[in-house]
Amino acid sequence: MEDKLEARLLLMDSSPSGRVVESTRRIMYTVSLTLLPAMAISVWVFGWEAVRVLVLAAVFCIGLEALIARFVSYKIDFLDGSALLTGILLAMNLPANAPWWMILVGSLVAIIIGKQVFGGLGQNIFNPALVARVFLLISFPVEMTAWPKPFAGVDAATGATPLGILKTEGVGALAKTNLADLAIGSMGGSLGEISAIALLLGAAYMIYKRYITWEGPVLFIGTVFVFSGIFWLIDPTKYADPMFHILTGGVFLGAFYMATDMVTSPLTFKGRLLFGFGCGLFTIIIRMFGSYPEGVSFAILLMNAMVPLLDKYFPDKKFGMVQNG
Amino acid sequence: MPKTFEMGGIHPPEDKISSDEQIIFGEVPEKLLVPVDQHIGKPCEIIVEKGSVVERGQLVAKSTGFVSSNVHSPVAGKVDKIVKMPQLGGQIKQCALISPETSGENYADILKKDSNNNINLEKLSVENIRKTIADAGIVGMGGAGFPTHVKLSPPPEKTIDTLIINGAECEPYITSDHRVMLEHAEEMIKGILILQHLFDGVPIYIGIERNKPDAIETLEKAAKDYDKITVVPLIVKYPQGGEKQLIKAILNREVPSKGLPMDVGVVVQNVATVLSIHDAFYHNRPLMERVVTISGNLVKKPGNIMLPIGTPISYVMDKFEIDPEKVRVMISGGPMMGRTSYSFESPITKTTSALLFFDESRIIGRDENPCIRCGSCLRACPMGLAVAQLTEMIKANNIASAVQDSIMDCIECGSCSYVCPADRRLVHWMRLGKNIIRREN
Amino acid sequence: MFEILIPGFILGGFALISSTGLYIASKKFYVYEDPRIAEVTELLPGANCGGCGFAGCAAYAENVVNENSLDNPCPVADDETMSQIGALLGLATEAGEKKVASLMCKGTSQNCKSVMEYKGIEDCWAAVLVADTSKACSFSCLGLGSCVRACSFDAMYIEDGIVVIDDEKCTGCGMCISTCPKDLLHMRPKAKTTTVTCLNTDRGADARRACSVACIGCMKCEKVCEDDAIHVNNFLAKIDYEKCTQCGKCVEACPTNSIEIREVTVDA
Repeated sequence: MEDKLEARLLLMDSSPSGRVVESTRRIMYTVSLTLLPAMAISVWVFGWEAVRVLVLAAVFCIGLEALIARFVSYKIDFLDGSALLTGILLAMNLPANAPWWMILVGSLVAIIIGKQVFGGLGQNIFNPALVARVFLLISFPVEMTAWPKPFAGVDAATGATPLGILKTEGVGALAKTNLADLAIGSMGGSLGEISAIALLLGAAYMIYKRYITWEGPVLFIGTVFVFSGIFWLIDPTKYADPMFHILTGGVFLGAFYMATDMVTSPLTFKGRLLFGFGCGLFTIIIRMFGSYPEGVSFAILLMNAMVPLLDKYFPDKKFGMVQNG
Repeated sequence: MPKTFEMGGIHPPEDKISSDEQIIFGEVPEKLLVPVDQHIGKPCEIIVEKGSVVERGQLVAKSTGFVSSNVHSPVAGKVDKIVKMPQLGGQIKQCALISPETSGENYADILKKDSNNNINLEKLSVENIRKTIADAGIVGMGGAGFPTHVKLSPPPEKTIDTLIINGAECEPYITSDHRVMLEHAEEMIKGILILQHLFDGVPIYIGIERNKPDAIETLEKAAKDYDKITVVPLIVKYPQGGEKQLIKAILNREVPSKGLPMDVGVVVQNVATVLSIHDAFYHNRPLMERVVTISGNLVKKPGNIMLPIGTPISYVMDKFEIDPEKVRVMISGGPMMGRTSYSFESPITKTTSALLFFDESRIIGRDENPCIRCGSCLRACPMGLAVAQLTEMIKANNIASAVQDSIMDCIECGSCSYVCPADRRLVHWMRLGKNIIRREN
Repeated sequence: MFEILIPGFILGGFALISSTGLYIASKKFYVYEDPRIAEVTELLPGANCGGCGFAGCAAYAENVVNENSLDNPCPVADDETMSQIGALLGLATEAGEKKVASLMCKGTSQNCKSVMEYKGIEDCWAAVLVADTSKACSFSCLGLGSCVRACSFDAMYIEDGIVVIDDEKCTGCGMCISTCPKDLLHMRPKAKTTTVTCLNTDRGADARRACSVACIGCMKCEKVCEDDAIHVNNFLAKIDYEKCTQCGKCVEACPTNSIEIREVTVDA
């Protein structure tokens, strides 16, 4: 009786009374699904090894988050898809022959150092998957750069990425690569960085769903294209052409999936423009003058640190500021 | 070329299921609870007491200042007592509990008995117009309830060069303005002419969203003899009915931050308000009834009904066969800006444009999840505010920064909360923040 | 061989220059601070509650020393602490009456029924924006704990829909008072434990209908009080603590149990 009386009380809340069907879970799982074409390409190129890396990374990340959820005071929804997405993106940044312990270390770094020490979802400054990738790259340079050759099977010889070849052997050695191969993804590299077209497919859907906006990625890729183009025009015998630069080394993966990560990218339009530009600039600087062949990860992490400043100093236009300004 | 405002805005499902239902009239209920305060501004002073006998149109509560508004009894009857009652929207206010002599009589018949006047517009003085509107207790009937005569009395240094009639009705479910435009177009035009006379024949724009093509057509027909009255079709977008958004959409003028429409030479009036102005002049009828949309998923036959002010909700629920056992969410106004209410005894007020009844399926009050910085709220905000950051400032009690980032410009339209994928109560935080700032000043 | 010394010299040089810079800066920008400020800060409770009106204990200590006045005593510190501070500064201190906050409401879920289910933000002011009250009585405690969050001393908690104050832990800093949208928190002398636990000014019948322990303004307490210490105004009893002798007669006389003697007994 008492319960029945209780149940009839009306619910009161502030307006609005209603909301969109969109939810954090939905966004996270949809973004994960948009990576399917890229995952398929990686499986096509590297075989079952790619599946192993993807599954291990996803399971480790979700498992770790579930484990941490037991020990922290705040609520963690480890099935909200954010851990899954981090896992997939981490796998995308690993070579197909990455040993299981390396994936575990990467997941540990991504989930704990990259995300939960900041206070969990939404609080992290740096993209967790990239933090893990850079950590692994610095800690295990040999394993992280021993890329299996495309279509070569499990225990086949390892080779370098096109950018690695460029760094060590110079532009002359690149003659044998062709752009179509690069665009489809038939090259050595980590799982996700190889196929620009597959990534573009997923990204197009995300832009359609308004999960990401065009300006960041376009500025990122555009900046890489323009600056590498300038160098190429100066001396084509020393520098690779701009198409080569944007199609290799995870520029597409970085631009569409890492630099657009909602949590670690700017909220404002101008902020996103500058963010994209900065990512592109740092990528080229590292590629041209740094000791690493590849600079996308470092560039994005550097710009991640700038996000609060970009948000603060490049706010969007507000209504009614015309007459006052 | 249909117009709209540029910044932000959303398009929630329209759900205007009652738009084809004619305005109906009910019987006068057995009890009326006429609330003493139904406006924004200084509270009124109640001038009847237990046992007083009142006539239809007699003053129940008197305005106590310029920004205040009279309240009249819609029926002849006896005041049983003065009681404190929960209002639609949650406040507790004094009401005059009136037993009507005419209970059971159809309200349409009562309306017919009101006098019919002929007005010679040319002979009406500006003071006369303002006084009649003030005496009639007319307030903005779109929801805010700001006294209309105050809006019509801009300070001398502000010149009004345009009058906008707000027929946008951008909120889901509500169709009361739509029906008023369809069924009372002639009266509306007469009311508009009074306002035009008040402002020396300024041009007039009637903004109507394109999802009401019949209303656009009807008003265009009614206004065809008046070349200064233009009907402006608008692209459907919420919150187009917000004054600032409507002015931007129609005139492309931007009301400055912290400013009022009169700062850009505009006065905006709601269509229902215009109808009340007509009634005040042509029928000597103070604001005592209004059209209310009754809708929601628990209403089998949604509709629009003319109700005297003070009608208890329980009467409406009987009339529309709503099962009180099933109601879990009751909203006065639209789902975007309307306030939830909890008592079936609350009365209809001058600002109740709709009553919506829902069961559990209406999603309200979910737990907040962490902000994932998706930026949906920033894109949806029609005022261009950085909602996500502002709410964080409020939570951190960083009031000074929030003021600097224009939190006071928030119009509480609810677009941000509506689009938030993490169920954050952004509008509620914004309202709390504004409340803290007002308290501190 | 000597090449290894070059970086050593460079780094050493840097260290030398920087430390010299720091040394100069610390001398040049040195601000004299009365050493007593630190001593007073040391003596103060150190909760930084803000009850004195200053931004924490150090700011209060600075003000006390600079003004050389103890007219605004720390509301939290006990008499002993204040006299120590007085002795340090050579100022006389009066033994002040310790005060505590008390809630003027007993609208627990049993006494005062909820009329709705509030689903908004857990904050009393936020709730008031949605509706004036969530219970039958419009004067009642909302039980969402804005005051609990303002308390620096862990002296408040929510139980059964209302706030409970632990008199032992309450230091009387007064920081909770302004956090209540219903103005239900009032300060009273810690030693005077007789309190009217209601603020309802509605007529008796209305008040009674809303809450079973509401003050109905029946005047019985006023009649039995021998010290002229309790008065009913506007259908609500109020105790004058200047006159109250804690005889407990009003508590016995009250038909609705809206006057109580706090169970926590404390030495004055």
